[in-house]
Amino acid sequence: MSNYKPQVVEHLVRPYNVGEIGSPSGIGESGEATCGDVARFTVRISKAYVEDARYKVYGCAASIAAGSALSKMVRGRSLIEAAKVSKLDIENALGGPLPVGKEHALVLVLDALHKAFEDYWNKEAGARLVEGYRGYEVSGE
Amino acid sequence: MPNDYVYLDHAATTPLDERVLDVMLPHLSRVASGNPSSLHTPGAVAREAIEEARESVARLVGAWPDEIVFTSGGTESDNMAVLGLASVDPRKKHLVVSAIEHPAVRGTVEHLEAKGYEVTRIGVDMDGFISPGCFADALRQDTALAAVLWASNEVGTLQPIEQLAEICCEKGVPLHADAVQVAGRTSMDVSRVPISTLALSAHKLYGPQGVGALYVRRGIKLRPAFFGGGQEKGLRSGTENVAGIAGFGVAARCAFDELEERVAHEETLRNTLIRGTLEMPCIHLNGHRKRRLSNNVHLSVEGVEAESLVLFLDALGYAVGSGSACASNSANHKASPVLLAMGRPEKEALSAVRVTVGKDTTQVQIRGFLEAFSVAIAQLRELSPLYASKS
Repeated sequence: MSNYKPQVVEHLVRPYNVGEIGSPSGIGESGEATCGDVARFTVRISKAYVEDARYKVYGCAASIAAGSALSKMVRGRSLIEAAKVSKLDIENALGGPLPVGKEHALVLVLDALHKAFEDYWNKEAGARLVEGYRGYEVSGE
Repeated sequence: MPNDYVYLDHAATTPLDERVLDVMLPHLSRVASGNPSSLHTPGAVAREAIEEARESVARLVGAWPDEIVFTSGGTESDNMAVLGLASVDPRKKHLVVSAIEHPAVRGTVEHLEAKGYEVTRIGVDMDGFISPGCFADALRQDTALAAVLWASNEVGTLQPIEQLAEICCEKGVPLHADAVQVAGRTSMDVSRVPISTLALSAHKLYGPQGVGALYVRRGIKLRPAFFGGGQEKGLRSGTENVAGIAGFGVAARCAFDELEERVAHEETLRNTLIRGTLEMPCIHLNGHRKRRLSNNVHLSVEGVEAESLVLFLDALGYAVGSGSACASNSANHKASPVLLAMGRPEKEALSAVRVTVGKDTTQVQIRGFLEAFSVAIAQLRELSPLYASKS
C-alpha cells in the first residue's frame, strides 16, 4: 500500500484518454524533461466544446493519475467550463488531497491543458483575423 | 494484501523466519526473561539468550563473541562506528569515504564535516567500484577513519574489501565497513580481513527489525555514543532488546548454516531476472554483472519514472524497490546519488528500480514477475511523452 488514495492507483493502472490526437486543435506541454515530470495534452475543440482531450505523462503516479482524471473531467465540456476545472476538482476526483509533496502533479497537468487551450485560441485568433467572426455570434445576444 | 502477493524487496527488509519468531516469542510472553543486568533467574535467562546470540552473530562474520556489540540496527551501528572512531584522536580530523555510502554513513560524515572535519570522497567507476589506488592515495597521517560500503544497498556491487582493508592496515587507518546487505549473502571472515568495525542488521537476514550489531575488532578504540548503565561493554548503554537479540542470533545461525544453499538459490533467480529483463527493450542493468550481491538486480528503465513503475507493479501484486524518489514539495525528482556517482545520466537515475529476491522466492514467482514487468513498462511507456518522442 502506498500513501496514495486507491483512486490514484486505479487511474495509474487503468488511465483514461491516454495518447495524442492526430491534427489536434491545440497542443500544450509542461514540465521539465531533463529532471522532472512532463505532461502533454492534445485537444480537439469544436464549437467551443472540448470534443476530445488526450494526454501523456512521464512522471510519478500522482502526475499520471491527475492527467487521467483531468482528461476525463474536461471531455465534452464547454471550453469555459473546462478551463475552470481547478486543482481541488482534480483532487476530489482522486479521492482527496494528494500526499504532501505531490501537489505539483496538479499544476503540471493543468498547465499542460491550459497551454493546449491557449494554443487553440492563438490559432483560432489567427484564423479569425483572416476569415472574420461570421458564424461566431452567440445565439440570444 | 492478497495471499499470492510476491515480495521482491529483500534489500529493504526480509520476512521474519519462523524459526526466529519461535525463539523470540517466549521472551515477549508473560513468562518473559528479565533484565539481563539482573542477578536473579529471569535475568540470567535473558543474559544467556543474549550471549548465545552473540556467539552466533560472531560466528557469521568470523569474529570473537566479545567483539560483537548489539545495537538497534545498521544505522546505529554505522553512527556508532564513524562517530566513535572519529573522536578517538582529536588531532585526526580527516575522513575518507566512498561516494556511494549508505545514508547512515553519508549523513554521519556530513555531520562531522559541518563540525570541521575534512572529508575525502572516493569516486567510483561505472559499475560502482572504488579504485584501490585512489583509495590508498586518499589516506593520510591525520585520517581518523575510512568507511566503505561493502556491498551497495542499491546496485549491489561488491567492493574489493580485502584489498581496501589491507591498504588501511598498512597505513594505520581504521576501516569501517557497512556489511548490512552482505551478511548472510557472502562468506565473511574478519579474522582474515583487517576491518576495524563492521555494521550488521538483523532484519536483512530474516531476523527482526530494530536490532543490529557492530563488530569492533579487539584493540580498536571506540568512544561510546550512549552513556548510562554501561551495557555492551560500555559502548551502548541501555537495557538490551532481549527478544530482538535472541531472534538475531537465530537468524545469524541459520544464515551461517544455509549460506551456500541460499546464495546458489538466489543467484539462479537473479540471473533469470537479469536475462529476462535485459531481453526487454531499453533496459539497462546497473552495477557489475557478476560481482554483485546474490539477490540484487538493479535496472534503469527508459521512459518510465521509478515511482510509477513501483506502484504499478504493486497493484499487479509485486513489491520491488524504487531507486529514486520525488523530492517533496517540488516538481523535480531526486535522483539516486549512487547512480549519479557512477556517471549515469540523471534521467536514467530517475528510472531505476531494484528487484531483490530472497531465500524463499521461487522460479514460478520470477516468471510471473517478468510478465507483470513487461506489461507495466509497456503501459507506462505508452503514457510517456519522452519514450514516444524517442522511438
